Amino acid sequence: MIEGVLRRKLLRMQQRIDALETIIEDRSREVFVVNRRLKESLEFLEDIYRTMPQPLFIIDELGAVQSANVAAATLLDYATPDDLTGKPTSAVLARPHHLDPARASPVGGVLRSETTLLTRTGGHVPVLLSASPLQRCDSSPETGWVCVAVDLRERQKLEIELRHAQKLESVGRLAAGVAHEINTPTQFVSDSMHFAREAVDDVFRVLEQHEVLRQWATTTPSAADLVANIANAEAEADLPYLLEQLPKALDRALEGLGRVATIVRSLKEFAHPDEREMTLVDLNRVIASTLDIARHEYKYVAEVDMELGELPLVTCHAGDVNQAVLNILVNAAHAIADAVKGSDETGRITVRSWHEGEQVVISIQDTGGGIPDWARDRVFDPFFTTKEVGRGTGQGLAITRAIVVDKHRGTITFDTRRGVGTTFFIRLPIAGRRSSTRVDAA
Amino acid sequence: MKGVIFNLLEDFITDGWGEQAYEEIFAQCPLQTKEAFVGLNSYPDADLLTIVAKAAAQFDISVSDAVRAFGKYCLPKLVAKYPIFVAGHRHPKTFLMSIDNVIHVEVRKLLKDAEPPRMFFVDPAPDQLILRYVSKRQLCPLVSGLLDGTAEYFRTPIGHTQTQCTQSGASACEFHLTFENEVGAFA
Repeated sequence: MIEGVLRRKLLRMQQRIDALETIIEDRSREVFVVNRRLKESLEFLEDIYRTMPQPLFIIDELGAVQSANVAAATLLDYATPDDLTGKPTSAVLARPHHLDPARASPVGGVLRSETTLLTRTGGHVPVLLSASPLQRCDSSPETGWVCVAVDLRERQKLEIELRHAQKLESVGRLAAGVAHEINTPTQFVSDSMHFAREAVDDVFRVLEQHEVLRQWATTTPSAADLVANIANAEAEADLPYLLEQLPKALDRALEGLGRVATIVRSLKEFAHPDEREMTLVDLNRVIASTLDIARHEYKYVAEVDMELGELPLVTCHAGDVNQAVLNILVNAAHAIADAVKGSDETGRITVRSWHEGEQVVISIQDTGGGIPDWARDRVFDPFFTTKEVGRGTGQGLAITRAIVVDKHRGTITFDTRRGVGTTFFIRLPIAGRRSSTRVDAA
Repeated sequence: MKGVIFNLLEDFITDGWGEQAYEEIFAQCPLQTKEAFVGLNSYPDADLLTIVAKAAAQFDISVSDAVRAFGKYCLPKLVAKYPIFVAGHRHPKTFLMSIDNVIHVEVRKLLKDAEPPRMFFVDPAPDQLILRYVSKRQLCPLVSGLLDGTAEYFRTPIGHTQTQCTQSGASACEFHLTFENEVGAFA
């Protein structure tokens, strides 16, 4: 009996051993296949990591570079990615607090910011950095970052070129108006000079008679005839009129030449490429010169009032601010032209400036039709325009915003009411971008 | 059901009533499975219930009591086999609350096709726990037995009352547990 029980148990044990051997073989095959797939996946990911053109590096939870790809090493001037490994965040990021979990607040899990990377030799590379939090395991509260950088040097260069191109476009667009503005004073300078030229001939003729009289009077007692000749010559030349009008003609000519000189100087200042560094600038003069060269844009549709307050010198790029004011001014003129179209009325553009704490403010108010509701969120978008084809490129306010907000760390906002008009406010830090905190445009 | 449970059942009967008793019960069971039960493989639930029912009849006890006794027997055996799952626990409450989130997760990783039950907990007071057991197998007596075994293993009496059962139409079997010592009382 016991023997039979044991035999059956032994048989079951043998069956279990056989089954377990089969399971082990199956599992071994599975492990092999899975390992091979894992290795292939790993190699695939390593290939992507190694060859991707975007610089990528991983910051561990202690704030050191854990690994980097070739593009990151190249960008930061390291011979190999391994040379970057172990470097503290402060050796790579100019502003490492961007990745401080206590201060950073990623949107949708990803933190994006324009920042500066540091090269091995201490150089600065402007980049758009996207950093995603990296949690090694579910239970770990400590977080690292996967950082992907986009080199902005080429983009910034293109932006500068684009701004300059837009400036040249403005110069081209203004050329006809400027020519007209120069033509008017040139016309009356020319008239005055013609008058002066003829008047001088007449005066010379009178003077000739005086000379004859002077020579004869030295030898002849009676000079009645010669005196009469002089009187005739003076009458023919209308000497009193000439004496009255000639200085006026010359004054008009000088005034006209002054206006031509002002316009040419303004245009020259406007078209001149900006200095690399900001300089101390009299913004009221910038506003006045912009109004000079843009006169032809608005003079048929609007009166311009200038209420320029006393301003301190502002550290900025004068040509850029010129451009920003011009873009808004041209928009104001176009808005008024649309509003008064078909009537004899003209609108009004009021340009004001004042000093407000650490900032100066320039406001440009027009009596145009206002910005439609649907367009208000988009007016600063590149290539957005409400003007008809051929009248606006959609670059004006986008570039104005880039100049004011990105380049000068200022703000640009606007108030608008349908049928009443629009006022743009440009606020610039007096001390330039370095001393100011960034505030986005409303 | 995984073979490891069948093997524990064999040990349970053999330890309690001897090799011969098991062989006799086993020989009388019309099982779907013809080969030996191996721990890693899966077998029909019906085979387990057939063996339990035959054993209960053989020893003249109810199936429910048999399953509960089997549950109590299993707990220390499973602890001996997988000690890591109790290593961090000094109180049965924390151990029980780790079953669904830790132990059953590991079971699914290690045993292909494993279908462990779901266990949900409500923690109304430090010395109390409400356990909701959801399984198509409806083995709530096994849960009772495991609770008995847990209390014995941790040397902490657990009063438990089943307040609802899926066999009576409830969506889950619910147990109200009371621990003689609160969590942390040992610290």
